[in-house]
Amino acid sequence: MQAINDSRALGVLTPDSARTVLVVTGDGELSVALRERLDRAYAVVKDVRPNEGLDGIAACRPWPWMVVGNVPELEASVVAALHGRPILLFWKGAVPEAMPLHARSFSTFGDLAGAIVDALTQSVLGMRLAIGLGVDLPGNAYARSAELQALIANHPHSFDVPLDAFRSAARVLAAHNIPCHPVRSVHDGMVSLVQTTGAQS
Amino acid sequence: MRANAEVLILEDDNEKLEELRQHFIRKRFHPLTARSASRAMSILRNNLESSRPVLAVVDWDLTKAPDQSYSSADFLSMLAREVAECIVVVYSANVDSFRVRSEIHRAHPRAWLHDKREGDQSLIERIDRMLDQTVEDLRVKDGSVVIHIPSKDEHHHREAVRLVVHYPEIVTFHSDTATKAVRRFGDWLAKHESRVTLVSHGNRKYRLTVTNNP
Repeated sequence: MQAINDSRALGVLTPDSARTVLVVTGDGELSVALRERLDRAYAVVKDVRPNEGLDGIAACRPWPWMVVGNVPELEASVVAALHGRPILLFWKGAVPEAMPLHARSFSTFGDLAGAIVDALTQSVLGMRLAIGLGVDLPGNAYARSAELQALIANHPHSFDVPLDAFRSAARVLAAHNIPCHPVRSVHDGMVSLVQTTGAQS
Repeated sequence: MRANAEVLILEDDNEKLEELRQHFIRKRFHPLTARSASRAMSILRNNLESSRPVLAVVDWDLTKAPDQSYSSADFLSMLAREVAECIVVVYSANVDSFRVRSEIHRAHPRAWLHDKREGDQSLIERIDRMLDQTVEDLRVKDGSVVIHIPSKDEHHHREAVRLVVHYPEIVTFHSDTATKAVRRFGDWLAKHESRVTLVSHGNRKYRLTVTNNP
């Protein structure tokens, strides 16, 4: 790992709790193109190479909101770091082996960029991603929960992540009487945000 | 307290550096200037406790710098690590190249880019637009003052200026002293019934938001 107090350590590896789109590519071109499409007030785009993937993930606190890439393979340690956490995984082309099952593949840049914009602007029952980080809730309330942020952005898709990982999201939803909660599917074990019967999005 | 906000300028061309310096003096900022990345890094390091620039203006191509031991990328990386709350504008004649854009943003993921080929005046106008930010009933004046337009009352603190020029983005402040100044600014906004309010995100993170019903 690159020491962050090294006088030449890249700024992109500086620890940061902003909502981050971590882009893992061999040459940075995808990252440059995505930056043009995304509202910088809502997400910071960080451009890392495959061999910096683990440092890049570690620099995002508590974890990256989204990891995007176009490389066909990732080191096993990077793939391992993507498991067990609600990190949106969007890939241009084939998804590397052993990635979490919720990783989504897009064949064109336009589809990928459009899906990222959709995730950033998603709205569920009056909840939407706040500027910078966290979630704006109905009634001018706000929650920092990274798990809730992930569930909303990924809605209606699901996460290959244990239900336990979404406890903070469930607490926020219950505390604000928002009629939905994270649910683990009995069919495939994936977790998604499910609206209580009768709720309207 | 009235302390004019600092602007750090890294430009290897002496004439252009002086032109930018004079511009910021006229705008009542306090310019700190360097012709090499190593000098800019040492200015930043030596002043971190007492003054943290609101803005850094960085020439990406430093071929005329008297000292080449560090690059503009090294300086940008230091800014990202040490002064994340500073707005950074990087200009280059090669800003169209995806390789250059990638290098700049790997050094500083939040840097704003400007095309040097558009000329010096274009850079100055761009920076002025960023610094002379008006947010609803607030505007920045002379680099160190936020004015509440309806009452013409002034709030003098660089951290208040920083919040306004960053609008709508979140700013992470570096110390308890800075966050106290930010909270005082939030109280001042409330006292003036401004349509702009302060939002705290915890961990020294704040942003301004505009409310429809003050």
